[in-house]
Amino acid sequence: MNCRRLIAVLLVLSLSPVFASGAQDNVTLGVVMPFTGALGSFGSDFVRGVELAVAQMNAELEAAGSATRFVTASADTEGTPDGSARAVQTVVQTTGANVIVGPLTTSEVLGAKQYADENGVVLVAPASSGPAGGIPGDNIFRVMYPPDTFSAKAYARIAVTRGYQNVAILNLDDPYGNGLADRFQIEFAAAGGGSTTRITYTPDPPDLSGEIARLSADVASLSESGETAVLCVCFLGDAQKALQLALVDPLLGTVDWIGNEAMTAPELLEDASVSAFLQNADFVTVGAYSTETPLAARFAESFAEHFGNPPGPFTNYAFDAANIAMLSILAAGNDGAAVKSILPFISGHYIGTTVQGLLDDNGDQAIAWYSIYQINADGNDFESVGLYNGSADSLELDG
Amino acid sequence: MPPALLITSLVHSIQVGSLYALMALGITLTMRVIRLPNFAHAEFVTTGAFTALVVSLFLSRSPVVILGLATLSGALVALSSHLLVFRPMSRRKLSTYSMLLVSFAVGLILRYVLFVLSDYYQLFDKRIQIPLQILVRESYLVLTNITFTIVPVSIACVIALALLLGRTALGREMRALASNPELAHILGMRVERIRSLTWLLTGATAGLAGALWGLYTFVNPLLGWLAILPVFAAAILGGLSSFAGTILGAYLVAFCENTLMQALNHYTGLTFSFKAAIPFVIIILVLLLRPQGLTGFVRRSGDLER
Amino acid sequence: MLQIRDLTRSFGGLRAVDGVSFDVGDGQVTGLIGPNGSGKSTLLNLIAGQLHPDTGSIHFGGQDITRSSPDAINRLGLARGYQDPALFFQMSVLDNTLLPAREQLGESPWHAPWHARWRGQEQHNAARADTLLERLQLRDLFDRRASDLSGGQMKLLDIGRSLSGEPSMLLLDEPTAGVAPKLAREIFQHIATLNREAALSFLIVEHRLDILFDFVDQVIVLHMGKVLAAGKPDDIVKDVRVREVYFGL
Ligand SMILES: Nc1ncnc2c1ncn2[C@@H]1O[C@H](COP(=O)(O)OP(=O)(O)O)[C@@H](O)[C@H]1O
Ligand SMILES: [Mg+2]
Repeated sequence: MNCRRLIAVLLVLSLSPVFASGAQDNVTLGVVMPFTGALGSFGSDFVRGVELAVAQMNAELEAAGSATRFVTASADTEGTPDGSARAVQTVVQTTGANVIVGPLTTSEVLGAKQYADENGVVLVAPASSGPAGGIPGDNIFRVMYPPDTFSAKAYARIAVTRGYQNVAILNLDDPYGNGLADRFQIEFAAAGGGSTTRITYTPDPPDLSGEIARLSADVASLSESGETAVLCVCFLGDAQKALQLALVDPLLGTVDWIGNEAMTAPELLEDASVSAFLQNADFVTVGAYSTETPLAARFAESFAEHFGNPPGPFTNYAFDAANIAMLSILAAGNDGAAVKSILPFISGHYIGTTVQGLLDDNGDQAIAWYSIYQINADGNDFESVGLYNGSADSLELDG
Repeated sequence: MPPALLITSLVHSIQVGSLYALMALGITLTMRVIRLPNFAHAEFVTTGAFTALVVSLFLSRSPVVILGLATLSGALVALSSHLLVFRPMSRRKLSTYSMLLVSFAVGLILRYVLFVLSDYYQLFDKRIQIPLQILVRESYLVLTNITFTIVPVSIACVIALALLLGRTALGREMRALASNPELAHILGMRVERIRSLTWLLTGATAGLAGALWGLYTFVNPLLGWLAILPVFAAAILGGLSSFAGTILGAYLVAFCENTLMQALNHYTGLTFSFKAAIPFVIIILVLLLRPQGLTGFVRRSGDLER
Repeated sequence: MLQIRDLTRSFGGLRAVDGVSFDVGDGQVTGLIGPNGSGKSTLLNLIAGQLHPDTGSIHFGGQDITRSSPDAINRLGLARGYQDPALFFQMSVLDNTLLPAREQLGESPWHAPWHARWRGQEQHNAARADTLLERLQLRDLFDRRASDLSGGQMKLLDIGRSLSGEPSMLLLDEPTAGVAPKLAREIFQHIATLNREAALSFLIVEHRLDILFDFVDQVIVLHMGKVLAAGKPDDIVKDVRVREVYFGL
């Protein structure tokens, strides 16, 4: 009796997907992001950006009478290369997804690269920009956010324009930091710059005292042959640690400082002595410049409506990446090789929240504008003082 | 090596060494008295740092209040971990190995609670609001108010703890508990009370160390966790049992991370990325070559172990 | 002082202690003898609260301690020494002797930081410990680690540690095992002195009957968990059953 009822239930259950798939054609869009670790809050916000794009697309598909629906399946990269590879593998094996939005950073992207290439899975990374990720012909597309090959040129142009002979570099020892610093050294030399020195530090250091002492020594020796500046390629937290030490260094306060995008943070200026130090150092930073398209405002509005709070920084890139991924699937079918083939075309004809998604031979964003930032008169925030056009290598400073 | 590098790196060795010593003492204390290699110690440290941050932002900028409340918060978190988790767990007669995993879990939970809270209240990337002042500037030698807070406070705490353990009846009972818990129980020592006090002390030193470490760097949910490796290296140099060895070990690790690393970088071009590996190297070398750490050397020169 | 009634304790099927009854009077020194495995250590464990009996009762100083915990029994003034010395091996001889002292001000977290509050008491305790160590001939070794002592010295320290809690009765398990014959006799002389001067009662398990019989007021003979005989040393020596099982005559 019991047994028969059980069999009946099992039969119904096993048939139900058949009915469901008869009515609807579900396509899984994978999402891999860091949900834990230092970048965890980025990851959580990015997933919402993807979910919003999927919800909007599904509504339109239904209205148009299409049977196709997108569903998302996400996994945590834990912010590490290994975790990223595992996350991609998990999503692919448990849901059969062929196209994945993510991961976040260049080291995570490179961690998942081998698995993606070998299994024909396409990764659409919305914010990775390390030059190391710029590889032609692979399954990785880095849409919307330009690679740091361009920003390295921007730093070199600023350094040369400001008349720095030499640059002492402090950078994060990861694909992003090393890639940017490597490219900077090349571009700086090509633009006629003098000597550079490099200090790399492991991500998340307990403290940076040795590194900063060495930086000061580097500045001392470089200064002998001409005007010297410091270039910092750091996460914000590390920059805080570095600046606390630099504040009391007899030499580091006497030279100019250049910072990366992460250092364009008003939090850095909350401490009055740090703010004064940076103003005195003519502190300049470079950040991706985003002209907001009309879509950006609609995105922000729908996001706030859906989730009750405004989107965090860069979340719009996740939204754009999801749209490009879904449009490519709709155009060529849910198949890795087909999507890989058509994605550059679709992306190049998609205008997102900030920019047209034109891709270069590496599958990376080809249009690159950067804002140049300096500290405002009140010393409590950054303001844009100029623009750098990466594709044309032209620097325009206001006034 | 240029004198500037030598002098700054020596100053840093002393600062960082004092802080490592303060953190490592707590680890050695729990290791000896509770017999637990406590990895959650890192989060007791982080809790102290966050308390210092919140107090300095919203309550008071007086260093005494900031450090005092940070100390208290560390003590309370440690005591509640003991009462809510470690004690019920150890009643199940788990092996040291399992207890170590339990301490990992406690640390992990605390760490992510701190992540969630600092996300919610926007406490990421903030500094404890005690403005930096330079008090001594003699050519290469720069000493700040932070230096003059960190070093004396840490050293005073380390000495106080050593005296408490070595000279008072309470310390004697703690050491007795470490040496032979069954006998201590039979002799009618108030074992539970001594355990709770040990956790309070451990947590207090951790909380204070966290606030000082936060002053020296900045506050982040990973603060304690990132420092735990060199701190464990220091404790292992102390053979996980000797307080004098632990203190010496703390300064030795800090010296290797700062002055030695600086020299290696200067003379051989070894990059600073190697710095993160130094505690690992020390731990491995000690465990391979001299598992008792520095204890043997130290005891002869009449120490706190008695 | 100590009344034991119908005490029984089994391990599995084995009755290690089987219906034992006897008294130890105030200020009496009682010897507990019997062949190996006759249940002596088990009996001491039952009295000290480290084991609980299956049936029977134990009263100490008028109080029922049958089910009390070892620390409660210790607090009542019934201390014990061990066959294998139980010491704080990583600590000094002096620390081992100081630890059991009662009501130490310096053990309270409120008093510990103020040296002046407990200095007097600590000095007093140290002086007492000093006398004790002197008597046990351990004085010169006061700052040695307990683990560095010889076997005999450890036994002495075990006794010293038990005494420093100022008990009114002491249970000793083979206090002279591993101790040189001369020192063994001295230990019993100390016991006699303490018995006389401090009115301390003793229950002593001992194999060296020649020495034991010179110092005890009564002897209990255990055999296979049962009391085979009890009485004055002279009577015990004459007892035929005892001679059979114990002296193998
Ligand atoms: N914990 C125990 N578990 C099982 N048997 C025990 C235990 N302790 C003692 N015994 C047994 O009880 C008997 C009495 O042992 P014990 O009291 O040590 O004798 P004694 O001290 O007179 O030599 C022995 O047969 C011994 O094997
Ligand atoms: Mg025995």
